Amino acid sequence: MRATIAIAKRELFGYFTTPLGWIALSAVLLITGFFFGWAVDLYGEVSLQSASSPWGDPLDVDLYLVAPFFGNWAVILLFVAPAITMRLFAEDRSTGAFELLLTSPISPMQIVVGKYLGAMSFMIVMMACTLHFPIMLLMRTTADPGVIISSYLAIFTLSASFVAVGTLASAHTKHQVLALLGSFAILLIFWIMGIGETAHGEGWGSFVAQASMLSHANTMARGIVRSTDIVYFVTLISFLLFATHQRISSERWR
Amino acid sequence: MIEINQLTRKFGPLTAVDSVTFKVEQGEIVGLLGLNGAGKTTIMRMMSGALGPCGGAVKICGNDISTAPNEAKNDLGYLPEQPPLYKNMRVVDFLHFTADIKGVDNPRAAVKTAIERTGLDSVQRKVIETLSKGYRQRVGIAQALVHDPKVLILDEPASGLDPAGRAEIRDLIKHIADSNRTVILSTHLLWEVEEICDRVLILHNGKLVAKQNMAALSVTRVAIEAESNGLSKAKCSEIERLLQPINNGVRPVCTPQGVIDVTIEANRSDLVSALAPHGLVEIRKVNLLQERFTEVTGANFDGKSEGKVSS
Repeated sequence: MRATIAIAKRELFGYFTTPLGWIALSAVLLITGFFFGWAVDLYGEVSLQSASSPWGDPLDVDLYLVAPFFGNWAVILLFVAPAITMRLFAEDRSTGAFELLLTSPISPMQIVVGKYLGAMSFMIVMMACTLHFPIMLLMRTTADPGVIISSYLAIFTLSASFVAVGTLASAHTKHQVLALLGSFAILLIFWIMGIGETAHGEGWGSFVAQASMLSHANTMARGIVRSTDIVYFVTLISFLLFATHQRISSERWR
Repeated sequence: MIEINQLTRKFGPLTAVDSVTFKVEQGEIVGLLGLNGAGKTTIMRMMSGALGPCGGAVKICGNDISTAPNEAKNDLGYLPEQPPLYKNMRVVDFLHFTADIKGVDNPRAAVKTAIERTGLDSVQRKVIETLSKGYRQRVGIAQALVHDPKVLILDEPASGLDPAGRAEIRDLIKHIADSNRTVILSTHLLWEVEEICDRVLILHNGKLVAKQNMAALSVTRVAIEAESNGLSKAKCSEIERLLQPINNGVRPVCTPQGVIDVTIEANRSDLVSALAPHGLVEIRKVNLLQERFTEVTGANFDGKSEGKVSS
């Protein structure tokens, strides 16, 4: 456990001693801030039109502000997660630091979990930096706290699975760019699968969509936390980490 | 302490290490010597657990690196050819990190000791990236030492350093080995083996072709005046008989050119008094490692690169 925590701490520290972490953090804050401001503007405009209409109902804050905010977050994650995870194993391989981990008295699973937790800790820091947006909504609007919490849970589970995909991709190469492109390609496939239901209706389309992370996260973002979604994410992340473990364990035989 | 038994490693059709067997005892400093591609690094990587063998076994302090990896790794420190460093960390933080992943009980004390042993006091607060190559090499040795292992495996520890840096690393290795630690180092620099090692293992094309004690390779070479057609057999025998008592009772070989190698402990004045009547030309101490190496590998020496071997 101590070794796992040490590896996780080192990874987290690594993000803050290189430009990558700061650039990713700044980009996420800028983009989420921009989309949040845009959504608030749009909401103000539409609610003004709605108020001036004799048939207009008050606009649903959760639908017009909370959902777009977290929807944008998910898109940003698609780009940020591969950038954050590309260095996990690839950088160690190219610098030779991976030998230190391989020749220390620790198991491959400790290495994998330590690296994964390090990247996840950075994602959590990133999420924490955007907390002021929903706090503002809670203070100034009638946004449902339950929906905001479940939306954060959706972003957290999406981040956790995106980081697991990135960890697996990084374990396969010593080139960070290849790791980035690999994880982005896998995530894009999952993303496209998520819109399968819309594109192909019921049947296969629905089946494929259920295999995507996006459809499970969407349910959560609507404020519904189902055990099936939690089981889906836990299973997916466990499988991805196990696959990474297998890749690292086989390192000695290459 | 280290037992290597029938160790084999293949990379596709290439056999990088072919049934290598040897033992290293506690407190010994052993050099793995060979040309580039001889299999030195592959053997060291298998010994450290970074690479799995295709056949054979590696035991470190009685623990098999394949079946009991953590127990074996607890007893060994490894410095690869490229020091495994996180260059954006400060020296002291990096060593704390390595102490943590190696499960050291008292990391603070262990890091302090490693820093003192490797002479890193003055740079311990510096970021590794800003250090010179020599200091980075020291940090690499410090990470290998931080958990106080019984066995130290060093792959080309002086590689890429300037002569002053090499001398520092050589002194450091000698200092480390003083504490009854077993050290095995690979190199293709003969002087490094001559100056540091107790024993040398010569590798060629993945095979162990010679094992030699350094003491046996250090001799006093005596040259006596020979006529143009060389010394007669009778004269050679007479000189060999004369030198036998001086040479620890072992009868040396006298070549027709008048060259005789005697044990290094041979007393200089005894040699002078015994050989003066026979036309003594020269007495000098030599190391036979170069000759032995050429004999078993067929490689020549590139004198320009300080005894570096070239095929």
